[in-house]
Amino acid sequence: MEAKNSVRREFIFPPYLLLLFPAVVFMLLMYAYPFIASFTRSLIDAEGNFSFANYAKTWELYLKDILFTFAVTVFSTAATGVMAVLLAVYLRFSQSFISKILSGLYKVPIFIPFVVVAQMMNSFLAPHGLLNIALAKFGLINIDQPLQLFNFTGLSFGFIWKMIPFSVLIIHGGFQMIDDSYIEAARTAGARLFKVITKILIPMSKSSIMVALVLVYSQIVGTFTLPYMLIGGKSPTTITVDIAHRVNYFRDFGVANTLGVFSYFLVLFTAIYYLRSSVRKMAEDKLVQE
Amino acid sequence: MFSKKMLIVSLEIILLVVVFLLIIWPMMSLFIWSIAETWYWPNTLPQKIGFEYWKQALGLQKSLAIGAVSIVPAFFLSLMIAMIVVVISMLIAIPAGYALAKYRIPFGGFILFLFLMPNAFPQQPVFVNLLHIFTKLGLAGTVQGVILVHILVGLVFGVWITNATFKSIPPHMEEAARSVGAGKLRAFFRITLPLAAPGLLASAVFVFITSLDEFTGTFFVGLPFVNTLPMTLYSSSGYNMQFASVIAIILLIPSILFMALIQGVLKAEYVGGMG
Amino acid sequence: MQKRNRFTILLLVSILVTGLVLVGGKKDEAAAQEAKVRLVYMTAGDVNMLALGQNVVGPEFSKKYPNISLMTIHTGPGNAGSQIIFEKLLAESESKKDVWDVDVAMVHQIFMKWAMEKDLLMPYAKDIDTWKYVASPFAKSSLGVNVEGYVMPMFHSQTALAYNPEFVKDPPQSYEDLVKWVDKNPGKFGYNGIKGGMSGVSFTVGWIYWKSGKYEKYAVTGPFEESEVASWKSAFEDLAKFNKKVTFTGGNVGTLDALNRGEIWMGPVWVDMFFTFMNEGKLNPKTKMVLPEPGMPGQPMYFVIPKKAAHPEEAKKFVEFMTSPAIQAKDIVERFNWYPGIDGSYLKGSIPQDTYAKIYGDVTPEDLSKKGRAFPLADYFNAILESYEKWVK
Repeated sequence: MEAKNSVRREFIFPPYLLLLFPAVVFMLLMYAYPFIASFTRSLIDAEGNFSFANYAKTWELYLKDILFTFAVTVFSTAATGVMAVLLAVYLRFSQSFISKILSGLYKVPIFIPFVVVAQMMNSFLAPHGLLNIALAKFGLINIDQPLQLFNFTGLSFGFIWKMIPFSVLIIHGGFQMIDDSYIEAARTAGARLFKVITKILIPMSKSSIMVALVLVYSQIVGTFTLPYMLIGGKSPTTITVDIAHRVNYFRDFGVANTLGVFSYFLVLFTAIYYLRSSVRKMAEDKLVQE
Repeated sequence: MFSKKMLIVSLEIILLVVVFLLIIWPMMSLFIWSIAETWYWPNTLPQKIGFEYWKQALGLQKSLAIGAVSIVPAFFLSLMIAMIVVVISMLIAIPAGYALAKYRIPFGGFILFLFLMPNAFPQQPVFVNLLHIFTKLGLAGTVQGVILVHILVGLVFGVWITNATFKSIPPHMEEAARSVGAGKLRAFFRITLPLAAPGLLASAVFVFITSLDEFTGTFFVGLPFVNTLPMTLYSSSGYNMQFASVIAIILLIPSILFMALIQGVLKAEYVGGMG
Repeated sequence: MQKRNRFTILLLVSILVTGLVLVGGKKDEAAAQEAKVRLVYMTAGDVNMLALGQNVVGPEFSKKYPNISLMTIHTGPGNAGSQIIFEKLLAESESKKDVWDVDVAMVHQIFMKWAMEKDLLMPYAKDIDTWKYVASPFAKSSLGVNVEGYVMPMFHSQTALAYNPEFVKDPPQSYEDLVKWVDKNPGKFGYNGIKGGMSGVSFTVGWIYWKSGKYEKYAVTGPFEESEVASWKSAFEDLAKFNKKVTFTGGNVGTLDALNRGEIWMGPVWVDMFFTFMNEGKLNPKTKMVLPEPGMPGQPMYFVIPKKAAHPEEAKKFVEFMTSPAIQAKDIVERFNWYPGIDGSYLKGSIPQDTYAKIYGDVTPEDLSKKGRAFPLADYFNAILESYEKWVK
């Protein structure tokens, strides 16, 4: 990682240290200790010895839930990403009156806290909730056999509903930074819309898209209120609900923290891809600058 | 040409209707519950509507079976905490985001990941540990303690979004200013900052909303003396739909106002803006 | 551009200053209130606890003792709420503070095991006047842990099966009948398993009591034996079969909501939540309850005083107030439809006839004494929860 061949003004020691100092120190103080405590706690069994007993128990009881959490998170993030990009493309290109309305409308879910979204979805997606009642009124389903949505489907719907606006805001912001001249140039050279999207828009705003995806992914993994209200104690459920169960009924911090470690690794593996590619990109940028 | 335009417009209208339904329809249950006094199956709509719960929520009427907690003070407390949190968070996040974007820092990836961790590790176990530490430091149950927790979770959005924003700014802009003799600081404030403004303000909005909506950490650290709006929501949620819906609607207001405020400041000067 | 920047900075700074001023202001306000004693009362349980403390009991208590003001904090429903209180007291104990923030707390049974282990509580019950009104074994033992002198029961709560009489013409009178009913009416019985709410846990515990027949050993005498746990395997396998024909709900409220929306016709509920939902217009007034043989568990909630509470004498006065026959009759039973924490015979004559008829209508005092069970000893309780997770999946 060190630059051997001297890259111009690469390691100016003071500036970045000063700039980073407050934020990093704050995080280390506030978060590092509780986090490390959680991590070590997961490795201590009921008798107080260092062991992997908690991991064994977690694997035995909660593997299904861990996989379920992973599946919901990946699916919701991917779906969010695709739809957010499409919506952002639309907003980037359309100057119509309708797009102006849409650009205000889509932001609404951002302001609704997750705990409220949980309430809403609980009432909306219920077998005799608003969605099913309306579908029945239009004759699309039989009210005695309503759509069962307190599961993967409903949960994903809730997550996607909340996360698309967030993603669009970030991705659209990235699209905005791409000057019209690039798009014009591509258009004049004969590129069709699809090519413009895949060859210009997405590559040039890669960092915005990746940031949106990483933040969405990590938010979904850590959410408690939505899965708790929609799925609660049913199986399979998410890691966060199981953690609450372990803590509240058993005060079993060993397993609770172990579940947390699993969740942490779920995020780590996806984030690693982003971080590696961003470091690589930076290196590319520097080379280009030269 | 005429029909192509018509096709596009009709598609746009369909899109608008679909998005409208998808967003507003689930919210309808919130609005309906907030004014439902009696609602049980098999009625599609409440048997009886009224503003009872609104009155009780706002303290205009005393409540019996429903805990009409001090919502109005909680509202202002949440608001004030959020504003302080935004200012402090952005003050430390902007330089950090900039440094991570512009300089090649050893372990830069690791440091960036450090700022993602509060989202990555489920909150409950970690915040329990934080409670113990804060109690020893005398910060438990204080507003200062809660503010610290909010900054912690706010920095995730603060650092990551500012980082992405600064990354997207072509470096040659700042270089150009520097090459005509502008000092580093001046170049930053005159060129980079305005260009980055949309992203930075988006970041601020998210920090604000995160603070306003923050619950788990606030709950652990704030008890028994600090009562924020999400805590009052938790108190009633799951038990009393009407009350929960009222509080939920109340929670929407400051976020929307803040966004409007930001958008107002951010008007025509900046190309595109955030929406 | 310059003007915009300056304006923004000015705006943000002014907000910051206002904020700091307000924070500072708050501190002064708190100082002014010091003249009175502020009693910090932390209560777990559902939101009606908060209403009780803030709007009903608080003012009445202050009328009797004008120099004490009650500050009610609500920590949330279910064991999670008690867990928070425990966490808070534990943190205070570990920090070696001389005086703790919380003066009096209202907790679930499970809290007692944790709190007694860590020596967080003050023995106070025998010091107060109303101790003589307490007769039930619940006041002396909580899930097998000896708590005599450390608790005063505030109220007693019972679970039962709520049902919709329009669709359930001949309600099952026992667990055995229930299994047959569910066979004929698949999907119309709902409960939340063992996660997300104690009503489901209660149903499961009742199931084990039924299948094993060993209520006395599991809930009263003990001892805890691993062999007993192993013997539950077939009982849980039967439960797994039973579960195939039920609807799962998210928790206590989930079950009531599902009943409300007509998605299920029967499910386990807490009796007091049942009445509250009905009073709030969220449950059809025709809904009824039945307590199936051989019984379902109920639990008291306890008043406790932390070991180093800041105002122990005032705290004791508060508990005494709350457990006095007058308040028990008026607020606990009549207003909130709980069963009293003190012995019911002391309330005779204080409760109006129609309240009595409503509360004891479906589940009579005879039912309660015969079929109102206690939750099992802590070790058996944990074993039941874990066995469910292992064998019913």
